[in-house]
Amino acid sequence: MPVIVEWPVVGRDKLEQVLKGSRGASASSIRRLAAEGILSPGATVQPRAMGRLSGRVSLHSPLALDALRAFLTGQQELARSIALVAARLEASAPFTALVAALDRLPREQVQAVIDDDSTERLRLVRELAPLRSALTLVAHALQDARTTALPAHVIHFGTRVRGLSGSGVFRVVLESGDTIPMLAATDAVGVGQLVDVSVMASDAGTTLSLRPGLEIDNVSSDQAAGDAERRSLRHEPLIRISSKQLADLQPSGRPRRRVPIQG
Amino acid sequence: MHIRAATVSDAALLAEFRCSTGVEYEDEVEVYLHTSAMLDLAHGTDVDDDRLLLLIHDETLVALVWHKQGHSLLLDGDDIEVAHRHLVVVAVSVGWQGEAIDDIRLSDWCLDALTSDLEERDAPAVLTARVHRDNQRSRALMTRLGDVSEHESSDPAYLSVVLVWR
Repeated sequence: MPVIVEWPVVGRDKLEQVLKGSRGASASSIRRLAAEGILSPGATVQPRAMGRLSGRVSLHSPLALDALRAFLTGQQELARSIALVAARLEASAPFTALVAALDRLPREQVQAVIDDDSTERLRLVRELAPLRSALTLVAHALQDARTTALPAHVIHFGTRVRGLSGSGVFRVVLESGDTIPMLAATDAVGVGQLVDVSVMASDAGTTLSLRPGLEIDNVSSDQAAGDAERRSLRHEPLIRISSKQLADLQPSGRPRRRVPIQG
Repeated sequence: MHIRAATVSDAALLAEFRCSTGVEYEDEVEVYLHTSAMLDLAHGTDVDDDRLLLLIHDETLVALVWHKQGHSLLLDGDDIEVAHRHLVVVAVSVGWQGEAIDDIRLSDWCLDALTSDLEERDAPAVLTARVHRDNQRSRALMTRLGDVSEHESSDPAYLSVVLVWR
């Protein structure tokens, strides 16, 4: 049965946006926070613009957002713990494969995946199988990291936007009927959109956040990886061979030419 | 000819590689190389010593050979695992099938790349592969390495093969 989880990647500019929105922060704080181990290193993608390589785009695991919010609510040690888990996730094979899937795509498509263009993002996920596979595996790895490696200071749940209400201060109406302030959204929100709601409690109060969501099958990351493996050409059916059959096999005697291989 | 191991940054190169002449089992290989291959390579390199060798001539990817640590071969009766490598894919670009470079057939380049890499890694002598039973070209390629023992697999369209390459 599918579940809605948090969109598994976030652009560095979103982190800067959250920092700028807080009192007393500045753009240079990103570098300082990275140096202090509160911001994970992330990864960089080299997109294309008009057929040529354009400037690099930095992206992170959404755990970097959690680390940032923990820091901004005065929970420095929690922030560092989360940043460590974020760094491990960003160095993992699924995240590396996601970077590979994004790498050398047109810049506007890379921005759509990490930015707030939900229509374009969903179209890309539907049409680009490598991107869909990579996002799914990263999403599973992110769920595993949240449930196994992190203390339960942040609660996440996925849902769908039922509507928008209010004037002046807009509110997002969730499928359950609950509403949260539009200000909690890191990206543009539309009716029918899949979203992830996170709730972080601290001495400073409760921080709500609304981020784009992704629908994945409700399986563990190991099972997701296993299902992908069985559909893969790497899958090896079991072979049973007798000792005699194996002993009777001989090489062909074909002359083996040694060729240099780089890497 | 330049032969090197692929990395995940070769995704674009792989996405442009065409090896199918329209036959279903060739389509399966081509689609896999265009979609899941890089993701699997990223995972497999850490876990199973996956080696995807790219054969590049004049900056064009003309063929590839992919092998990995095998986990599927058991001695009957004892269920003892036999150390072996598994051949995932051997593919030649459609424009180069049947052709030669430096008077050496592309298929021989592929076999030489495979055995060179296996020797370099001091790999076990046993090699397995999964071949579509209608793919006579691949079945013949296997016999150029050594005697082939063919076995039915869970998918009736495919055979599992075992051979000794040295």
